[in-house]
Amino acid sequence: MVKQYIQIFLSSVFFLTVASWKAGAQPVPGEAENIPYLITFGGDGETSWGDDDFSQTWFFTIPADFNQPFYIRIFDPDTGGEHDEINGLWNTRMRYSVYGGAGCYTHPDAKGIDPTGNYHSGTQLFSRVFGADPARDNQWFTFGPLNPAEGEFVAEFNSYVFKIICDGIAGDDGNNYRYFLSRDADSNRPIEGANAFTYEYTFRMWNDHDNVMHIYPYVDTGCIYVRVFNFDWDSDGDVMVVSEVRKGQLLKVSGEDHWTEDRINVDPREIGKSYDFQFHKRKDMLVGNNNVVVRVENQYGEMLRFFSVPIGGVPRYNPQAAFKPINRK
Amino acid sequence: MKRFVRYNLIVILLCSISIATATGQNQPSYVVDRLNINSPDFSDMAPVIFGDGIIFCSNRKNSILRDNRTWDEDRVYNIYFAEIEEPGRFRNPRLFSRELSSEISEGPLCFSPDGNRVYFTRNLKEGKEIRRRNQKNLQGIFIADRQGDSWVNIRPFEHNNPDYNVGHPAISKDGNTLYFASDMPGGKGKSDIWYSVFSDGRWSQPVNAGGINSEDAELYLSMHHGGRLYFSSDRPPIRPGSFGGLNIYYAMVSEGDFTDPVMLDEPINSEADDFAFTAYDDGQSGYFTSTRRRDDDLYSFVSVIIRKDDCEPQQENSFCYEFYEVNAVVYDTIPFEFEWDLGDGNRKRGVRTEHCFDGPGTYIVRLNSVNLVTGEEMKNEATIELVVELIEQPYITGPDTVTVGDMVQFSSQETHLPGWNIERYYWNFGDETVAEGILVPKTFVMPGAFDMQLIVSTPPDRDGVVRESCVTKRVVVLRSP
Repeated sequence: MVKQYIQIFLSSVFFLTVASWKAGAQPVPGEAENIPYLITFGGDGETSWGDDDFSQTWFFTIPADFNQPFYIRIFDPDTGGEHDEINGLWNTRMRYSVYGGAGCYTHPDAKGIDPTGNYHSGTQLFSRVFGADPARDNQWFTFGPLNPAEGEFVAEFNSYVFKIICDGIAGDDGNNYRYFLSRDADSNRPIEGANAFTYEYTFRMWNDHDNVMHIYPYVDTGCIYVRVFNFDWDSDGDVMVVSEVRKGQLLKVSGEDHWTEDRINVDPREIGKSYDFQFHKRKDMLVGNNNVVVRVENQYGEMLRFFSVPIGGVPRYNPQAAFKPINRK
Repeated sequence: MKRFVRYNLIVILLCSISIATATGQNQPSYVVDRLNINSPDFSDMAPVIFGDGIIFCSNRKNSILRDNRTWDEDRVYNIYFAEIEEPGRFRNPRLFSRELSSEISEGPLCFSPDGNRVYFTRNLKEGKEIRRRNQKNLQGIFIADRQGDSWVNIRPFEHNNPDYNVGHPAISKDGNTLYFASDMPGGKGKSDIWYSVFSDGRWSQPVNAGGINSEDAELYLSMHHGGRLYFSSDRPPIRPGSFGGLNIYYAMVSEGDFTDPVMLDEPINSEADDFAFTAYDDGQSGYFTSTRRRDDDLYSFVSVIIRKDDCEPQQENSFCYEFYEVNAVVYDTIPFEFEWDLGDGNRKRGVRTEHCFDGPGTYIVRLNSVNLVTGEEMKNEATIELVVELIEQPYITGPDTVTVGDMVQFSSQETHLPGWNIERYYWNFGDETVAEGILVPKTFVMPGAFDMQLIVSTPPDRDGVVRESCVTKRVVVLRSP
């Protein structure tokens, strides 16, 4: 009973936090993230190109009080032509699958970071495979309409949750793409109060020195410390953690084709808010087409969620100068 | 009443334990009062604090039937105990101990630290012998052990001698060194202070205490647990305006080493004979003997020195501060460089920095930082308006270290208590001397570390409220080179 009460309370806290954010924007990657593309490689690709598992899962949350049809749109769904990363010849096929219904989120395999087990849990609502398709290149493709009630209702969010998985089912090229959760089939019209999140973020860096990319893991109640893993960063500069109380802490960064782990001790003032992981590319040379994978887990091994619109807003460091008298003659 | 000190003769040696008094400057440090148990026509002397009262020596008549006298009709002394009835008042005295009373004089005594052994002065001869004319009956020290309410196993100190006087014992805090007065050969004056150390079941050969002795007489020893050896001497006083007769002195004792004797001031010493001083452990009250009203009487003294228990150490106006970025001192900020604009023209770098301002004022301290990863400069990230003020406190200006005998001056002119109409500046130098005034001279007379206090106070306001503040400052006094 007590546990149930605590769960309800925590859910309320989370919901209030989410509800306090009213910006209607569901581009994935999010606007505040300044990330050009998600990336998934074909299943025959090499992990050294920056994708550890050739699959990426995202969840969309639709507020419970939203009862209109909506759409999940994909920009540049094919693998070929513009934006994508060729490896020899274009030979890659991607499958995008949309799930709703019971278990699409709450099934344990759905929250994993690896495409194993029943990670396709839930009711499949749409699925489509794309190869190199000039007709879809540099274009938006739309799944829908979807009825919010087709999702899985999750009390923690007071929302219906849908899942979209991009699996690189063949080939070895890199597929760069973006999502948008829209009220409209032909244009990007955001749903107020909706959001998107993933447990493992695989993304493409800008091909320049100046853009700073951000991702925002949410620090849930109960976090004491978190372990941060990054893969194939190629030592391309610095990864810095910022929060209200953390001006800029450098994380250990990975080199080519391997994971690196670092640890952050969570300050109580960071609970219920998001970290800002900033990715600053090195200035002395340009590392092109750099892709990176990031995941974060707490002290129990539970994954933290990266929201495309950070919970609690983009964290801003709060400088605090202080003084105390000292005895010195 | 005959004087105690006669040329080449100590008539009666008295002993006690005792403690500090004042070598005052400007103000009497004690008030004295004659005890109610003095006998009008007899001699009462050498008080020793014991239980709920005092022990003293008196030649008062203690029996209607017996009246012990020497061959030359001097009355003999016995040991009495008087219980405190109320503060400042005693019940009628009674003989202290049957075992320690006889037809000869028993005089000053002291107790071992555990109270189970008494060292007392007594005439060496007794019986018919003492009534022979021109008989010299010299003094020795005797020792007895406590057994319930009795004193048993009375035995002579092994360095008693029929050819000279040995008496006025005072025992060290560890019970192993016995100080006493004697006119034994080898001394410096009429009577000197000697000491003997108990080791392997025997008292060592007496050693002359050296520099604290004079060419005159040193008598009436007593030891306070704080390490002060009190005695009386009829040496000519050194200071102009000092007193005649016997005066009370003290010296610090440490492993056979004695500091220069310090003479106590008025009202304990006077133009008359003042001797046999004893005090309670806190040194704030006690007893002594004086002939200021013609014959030997017992007096009490009480300290009137003001000393505050809640007196804080004086804080120095250093105007120094540590500045720090609250979170940056906790979390890694390697990729940042911090710069503090301290508002007085100075700039310093670092997550934390220290700075001393020249003086009071209002300073706007700004924190700037540079992100070394991005090169971004962040000006005035945080600002502090720092008001630097003098610390509100009484303030003692004067040396931290002085030398015995040097006159120095202490000032309270830098006292900073805005809005206070200070009427009184009271100084307690920590060596049981006091003074009043904004500027006061001071000569420390013995080495040590002294926590002096400056206590300032205002006159009563309309509501009768007196404001008072106090600071403490430690002064180290070195021996004269």
